[in-house]
Amino acid sequence: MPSLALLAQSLASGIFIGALYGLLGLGLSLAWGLLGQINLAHFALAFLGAYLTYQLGTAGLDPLATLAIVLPAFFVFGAALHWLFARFAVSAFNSLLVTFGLTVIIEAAIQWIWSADFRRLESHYADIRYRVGTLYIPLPELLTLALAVALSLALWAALRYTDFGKALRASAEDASMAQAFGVNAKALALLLSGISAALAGVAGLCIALSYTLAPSQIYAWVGVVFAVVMLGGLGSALGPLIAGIVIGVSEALTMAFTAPSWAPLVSFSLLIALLLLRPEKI
Amino acid sequence: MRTLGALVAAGVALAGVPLLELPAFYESFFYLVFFWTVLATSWNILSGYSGYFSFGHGAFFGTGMYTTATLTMKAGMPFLWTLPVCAGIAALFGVAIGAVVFRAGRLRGELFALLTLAVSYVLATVILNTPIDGGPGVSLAAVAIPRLAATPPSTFYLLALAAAIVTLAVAYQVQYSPLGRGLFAIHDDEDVAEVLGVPTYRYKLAALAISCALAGVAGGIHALFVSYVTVGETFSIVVPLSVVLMSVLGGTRHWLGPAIGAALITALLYAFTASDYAVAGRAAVGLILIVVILFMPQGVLGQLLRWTARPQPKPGSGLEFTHRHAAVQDLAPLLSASGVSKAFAGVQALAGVDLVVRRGEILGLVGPNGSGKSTLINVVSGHYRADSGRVVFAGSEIERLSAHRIARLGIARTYQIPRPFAHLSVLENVTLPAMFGHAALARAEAEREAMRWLEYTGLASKALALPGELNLHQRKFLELARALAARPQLLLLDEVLSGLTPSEIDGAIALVRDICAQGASIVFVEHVMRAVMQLADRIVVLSYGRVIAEGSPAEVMGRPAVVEAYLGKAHA
Amino acid sequence: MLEVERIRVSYGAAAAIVDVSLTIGDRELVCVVGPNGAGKTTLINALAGLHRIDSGALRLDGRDVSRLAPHRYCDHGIAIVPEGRRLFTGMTVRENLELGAYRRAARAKRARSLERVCALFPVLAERLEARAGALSGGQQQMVAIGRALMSNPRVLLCDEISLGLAPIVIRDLYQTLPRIKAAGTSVVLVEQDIVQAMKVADRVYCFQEGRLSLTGRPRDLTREQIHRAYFGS
Repeated sequence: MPSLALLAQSLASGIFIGALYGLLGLGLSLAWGLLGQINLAHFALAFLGAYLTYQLGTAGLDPLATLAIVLPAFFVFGAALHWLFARFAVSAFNSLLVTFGLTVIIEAAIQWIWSADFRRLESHYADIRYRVGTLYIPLPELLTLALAVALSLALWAALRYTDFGKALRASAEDASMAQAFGVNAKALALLLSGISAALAGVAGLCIALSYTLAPSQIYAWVGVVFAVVMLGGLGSALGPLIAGIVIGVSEALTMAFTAPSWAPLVSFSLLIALLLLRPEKI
Repeated sequence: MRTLGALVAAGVALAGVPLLELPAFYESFFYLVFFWTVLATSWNILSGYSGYFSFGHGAFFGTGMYTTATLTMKAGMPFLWTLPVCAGIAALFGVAIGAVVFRAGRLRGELFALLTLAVSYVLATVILNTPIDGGPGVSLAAVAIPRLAATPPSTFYLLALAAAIVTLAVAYQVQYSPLGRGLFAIHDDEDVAEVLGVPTYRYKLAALAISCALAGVAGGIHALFVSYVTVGETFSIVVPLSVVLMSVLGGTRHWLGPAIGAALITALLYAFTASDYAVAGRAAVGLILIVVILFMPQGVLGQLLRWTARPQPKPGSGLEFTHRHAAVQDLAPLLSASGVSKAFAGVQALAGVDLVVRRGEILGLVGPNGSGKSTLINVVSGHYRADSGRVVFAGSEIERLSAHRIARLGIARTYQIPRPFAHLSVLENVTLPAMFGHAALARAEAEREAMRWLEYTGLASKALALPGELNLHQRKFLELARALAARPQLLLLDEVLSGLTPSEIDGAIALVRDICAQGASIVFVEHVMRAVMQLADRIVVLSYGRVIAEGSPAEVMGRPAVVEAYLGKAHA
Repeated sequence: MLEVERIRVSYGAAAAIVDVSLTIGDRELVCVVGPNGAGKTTLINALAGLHRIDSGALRLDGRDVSRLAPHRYCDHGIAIVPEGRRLFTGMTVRENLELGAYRRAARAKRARSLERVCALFPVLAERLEARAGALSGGQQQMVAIGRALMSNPRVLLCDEISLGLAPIVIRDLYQTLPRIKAAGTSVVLVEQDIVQAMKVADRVYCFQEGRLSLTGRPRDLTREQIHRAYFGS
């Protein structure tokens, strides 16, 4: 039976990694739910963002400032991707296959530029830790949580309360009806796809701050983040964050009570159960 | 048969390669080609043919890997004996999953893909944490490699070659068997396939079992080949993604497609690795996948087959019909529905319908929009299950039967908006119900029967065309031919005339009369009133899910209640 | 005000509407009747920009809009109440209505328009925050009409608004049509229930197999003429 301090620390780390799952899942969920695009390349894109952050950070730029370059570039990429899908009338399933191809290309590019060696961003952020009672809270993880919460809330509010958000939701349900009332569904779709890719960039920053990078790591997150996306509900802005934290905490507690290697069982069993029992909820 | 013979001959020829005593590199390279051929082809038997793309093939391959590892190291079983066990356990595992998943409704497309991926991860976690692996992996260094050839690389070459030949033979057999025909139909429209008589649940399970067994064998062989089995390598996401890539590249609708894809990709990766551009090689592979999905969705082989000339079909031997039933009407009810009700999300589509269809009659089913006519057709044919009520057809109660059994009993239907199998030719579309419907003919006979019906409906010249190339009138007649080819006792026509020009309608009316004269009883839903008046022996009028009138056309259409249902109340 | 001139609309290779011309004037209620499959819904969808017009012209106040992008049709004062309502079922009644006023010119007057719609359909005022998908059929139809009215249209296109509804609900809906007309919006009404249609229409167009088979004012048309036009010879 682990000590209370250990449990509390597990809980905290579960929340932090859950926030990262949620951040990764946010862009994926929005694109899938609202655009019918299953973007497997979201992970490769996030890692590309992480590597870019590493590169620019090592060159002296403050990691947070790298977003100024990464975000616009990724936004354009995302919009271009949607344009491609629309132009070729790619079905949801085929978008999965096409983005798999993209993932392989991006992974190869990453390996070409940065080699397969492990890379770690040395930044002053990683050195800062806060102490709350017996808990250690590193700044990068806190930053991840803050970004995840802020972006999820912002998008949730936008979807819920702004005209743009309502137009998006209407478009997602019935695009031609939305158009009949003046919604430029095509432009909105490009915008959303761009935002989704930009979110991958933000996730990349968080990954670079907290983790060691290697091209092989790209696939490590695919399974659990898809589980998070489906559990949180496709097209939801808050869903991925909540599901991510639930899964992160369950994994952390599983690890505290048994062996770390049992952790994946949690998310995947939940996913299987959800798919079998309530597929229409997806 | 010729193809199988050629396959075996190729296998025998290739088996002679080790005698050439080439450097081990070549045999290892070919081993990989054969290995991926087995994995990709076995995956394709379920996923390519039926469209149920699985991302969990790694689970069955991994089952084979660990079965051999466990049996040889922990139970001391000789290696070759473990292979059939691998096949058996993998197949059992697959069927267990399929039995549950295929019953859970609507789990298709990307959801099925994700579910199978999740299963793979769960299995990996379980194996990692239990004594099967436990963490450090399992070493097979101590296992004796059978002496099938002079050197171990040659032995693995021969083992993989044998597995590949067997797998290709199985894939070939499946493709041209009723199982394969059914799977291709499921790929295009599973609900329609079921209604035409294909036992969809059973067929999917069968394809899954075969697919898993072959993957298990590949795993068993590979375990000894790598001689050190770890969870990370075995269950890496690269395996399921690679088999998808290879099959899509080569062509998923053909038994040889995945093998071509496997050979191309393996060669490509080897070429790049050899020239120190391994990374560029992988990028090229990714690019190829994207290009293929966007521009060549039918794969390399599919594209090649498209460009070769199409053979002409043999003409049918003329139209002779045996009299199956008396052309004279008799009063015995063929179909009787009592108290049939069906509701959808708060809308009561059918509210207690009582209806009788007599042998040899043409019954018109009419009523304003939303009165429940199509719903009734869907319930009788098994497309929907009624909430309550009884339906008796030729002496059997059918309201609880699955649609393919109802088709077997002798009911066929057309769809208001034609739903042909988009990737099957017109001839194949019509051959399917001849094989799976009431007539239940063998394939060659079914094809001849199909040609007869295509000539009857005027579509013979389009036999090898795809449905997308037909205009609306032709597609409606394709629906008709498809329903007729099953030689049904009861034919349900759902608005077969809507959208046709007046002269086309005249032709269709004559056809329907002739079909009835051949012995089928017909229920037809129609809005084109002049057709109803000309064709129907009796009509039944539905309104708000209930029968409000029944009798001869002239008499019924004159009744005030009926006119009111259509045109509205004369007074407020 | 709205002129349709010899339009042709097809589904793929098949022609659904051939050589059809009609006009709607200010504050007119025009009914389009005919059997199923005759082309009525295709006509409405084409007028709303939901379906491409192959040839011919669609003029609003003299300006041909048939070549515009779909999301620009409503800028010219066309609003549709489609067959089957097609509400945004995941959104609330209020959000559905507000989306009707999405176009710039209507957005400014959104609050006033909402008041007017609630005055027309009082029951909606009580259910503004309810999810649109949870309402009854009749209420959903009201939301669909309200959504179209929110865009301040010159022409309201209604496709089978009585489908699947109980007679008393249909009667209530139909009582709102003259009020909509009086407020300045013309109405094109597709209906299966001919008698109901004739009671409210200023003029009637009868469709059969993609063409116009009859047109005139209700009082000028006999029962037999309509019967024949509807059911065929």
